[in-house]
Amino acid sequence: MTELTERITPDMSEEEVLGVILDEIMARAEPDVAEAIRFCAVPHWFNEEIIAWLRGEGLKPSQRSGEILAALTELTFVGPYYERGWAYHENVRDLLLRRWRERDDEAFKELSGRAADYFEQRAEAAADAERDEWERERMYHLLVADEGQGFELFHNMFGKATRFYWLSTCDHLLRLGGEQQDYLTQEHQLWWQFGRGKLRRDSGEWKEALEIFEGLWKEDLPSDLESTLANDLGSLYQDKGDWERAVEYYERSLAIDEKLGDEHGMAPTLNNLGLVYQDKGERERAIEYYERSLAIWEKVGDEHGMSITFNNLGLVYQAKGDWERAVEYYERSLAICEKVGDEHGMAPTFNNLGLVYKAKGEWERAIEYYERSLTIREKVGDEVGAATTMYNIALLYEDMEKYDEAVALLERVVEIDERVGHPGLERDRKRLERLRRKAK
Amino acid sequence: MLQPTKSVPREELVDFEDQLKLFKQMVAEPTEKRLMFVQAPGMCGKTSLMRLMRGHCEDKGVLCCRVDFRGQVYDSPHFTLAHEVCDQLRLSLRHLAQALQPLSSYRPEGGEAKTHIEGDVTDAWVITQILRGVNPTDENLRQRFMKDRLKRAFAVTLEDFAAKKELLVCFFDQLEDISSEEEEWLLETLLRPVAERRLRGVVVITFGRRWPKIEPWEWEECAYLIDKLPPLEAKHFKEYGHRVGYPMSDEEAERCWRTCRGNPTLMGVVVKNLRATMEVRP
Repeated sequence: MTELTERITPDMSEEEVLGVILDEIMARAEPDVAEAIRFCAVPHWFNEEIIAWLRGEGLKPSQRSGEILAALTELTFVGPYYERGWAYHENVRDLLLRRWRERDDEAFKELSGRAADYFEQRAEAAADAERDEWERERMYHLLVADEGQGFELFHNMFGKATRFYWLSTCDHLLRLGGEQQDYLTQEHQLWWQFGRGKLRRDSGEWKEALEIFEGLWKEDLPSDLESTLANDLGSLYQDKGDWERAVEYYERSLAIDEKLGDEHGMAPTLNNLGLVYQDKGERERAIEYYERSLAIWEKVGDEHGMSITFNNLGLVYQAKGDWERAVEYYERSLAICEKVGDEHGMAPTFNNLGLVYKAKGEWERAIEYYERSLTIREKVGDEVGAATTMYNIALLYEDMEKYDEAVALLERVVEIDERVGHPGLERDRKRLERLRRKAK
Repeated sequence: MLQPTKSVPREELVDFEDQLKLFKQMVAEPTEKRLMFVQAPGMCGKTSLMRLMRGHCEDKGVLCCRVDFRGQVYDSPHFTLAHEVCDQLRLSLRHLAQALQPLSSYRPEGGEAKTHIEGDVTDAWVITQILRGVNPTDENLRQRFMKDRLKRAFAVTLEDFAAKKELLVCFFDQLEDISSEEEEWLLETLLRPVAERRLRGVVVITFGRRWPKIEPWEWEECAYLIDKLPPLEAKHFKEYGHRVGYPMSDEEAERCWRTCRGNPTLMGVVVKNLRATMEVRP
């Protein structure tokens, strides 16, 4: 002990002190235990099976692997890791990993490959609900052992998580990728950055997303990333109401996709450009872009994309007063929702149809559509959506001079507004008061 | 296979008297501040402090749960994290099941899929079936209206329980690993309501390298904001050596304390692990 305290000098950082002490423990441990202390830092957690695998014993642990695990669990910086096994204190693990990478990177890569193989086997044998967790660990180790394959796995998993809005999974994947950033190629580091921005955007943190995207835009980007980023930047500026910049980025994205011959990638950008021109009141131009988008969705058979663009076309024709065409497009959107079983997606379109028929003076039909929208929204518990439709019905009842019915509905709207803190609360209260006076 | 059941025995833990005193006060008088946020760098003893606090809860018969964000993923936290907390506290899941009914594929006997059950859901079997019938990837789980329903259901569950048992404590560990949507859930569903003196009887403690994403000046009135944990003193080293079976003289404890800079993690490694290896292989 005295010898040790003499080797630790006052100018050493806590981490350096820890390094000296760990060296001392490993020097005193039996050789295979000392080796295990090092290699158990590679996975996020370890157990008897993982120790056996990393020692080259396969999946059946020997008695010695059990003894090694027992020795490791005596260490004060080893603690339980859920039901999976054991893990090092993160500072100890970080230190062991860093020193190993610095001293023998090839051996580290080799062992990471072995860890990736272990998690691949576990993923194959796992039930659906658990497979993703094992796959994430596999990806983490592959990023070191075989960066290309590891990043492909990262890209696929991140894409899937983004599609399903598994935001915590996205966060976790980015963290895992971040831990291995030193092993990523320059191009993959840029994609990883893009993922960070995308997650911030999907989490509603627009400012942070814009900062990341703008920073990335200044880099020398590969064409596919440049196109994707331009589309996302366009969408962010569109949300901010900066139409000029939105169009600028969308056009840039389109030009790159055209050059790359990526037709499918152009469809959402064309749809977004339609939305910008619709917001700007340039309806003819909006229609032109929606139709170009629709042609591609149809060509590639993307029904979800088609239903969105049909609905948008319905809105623009409705704004133009061309009710027949608006109805036609809404019905086409509905037909797809029905086909794919997207009941919730039908509710706003039914509501829009109600608005069209009201404008046409076909009040009974309008009520019929409003009620279909309301039924779905009530069924899925979408209170805010239900309040919107009830509000529209109340306005119609007011036009029909059915004031008592209108009051009853608006009372329910105000009740929901109050409960959810809806920004339209004051407006709805005033309208309710006015209707009550009329009802008298 | 050896199962991960080890944890440091509470009797080995030393110090953090001030923070522990504060916590005991919170548990004794939950009408005052019911939030504590602890931020400190790694190796400063956060986990030990939490273990001491949980030990106090056990001694006092106060129910507590612990959510560790390290390596764990809770997508759609309004459902998954609420479920986890209720599970750990053994709280009834009936309000959550009620809120999730519209998204469940469970159909009551003779009914159609996604049909509401009239009145409150109270049957434990039905509750389980409803929850099992919810697809965690259902995009409706992230709709605002569904989040609000689940938030209300979780609040009612906690209030129901607190009304009967008076107190429950939720520990959230490794806050630096929390995702944005998990943190949004934590803030909206627990921290703000407790700060606004709602959710009576609920105490929340967070640990990590950072506090939750808050403006500290806004929260000073309603939360204990603990920034860094104090280093241990030489007397703690001596006490620890005694507790783990490696007694030290005052001089040795002093030397050891200086070597470890008063750091609790280093203390454990030096006093226990190193002494043990020295004993086996002198």
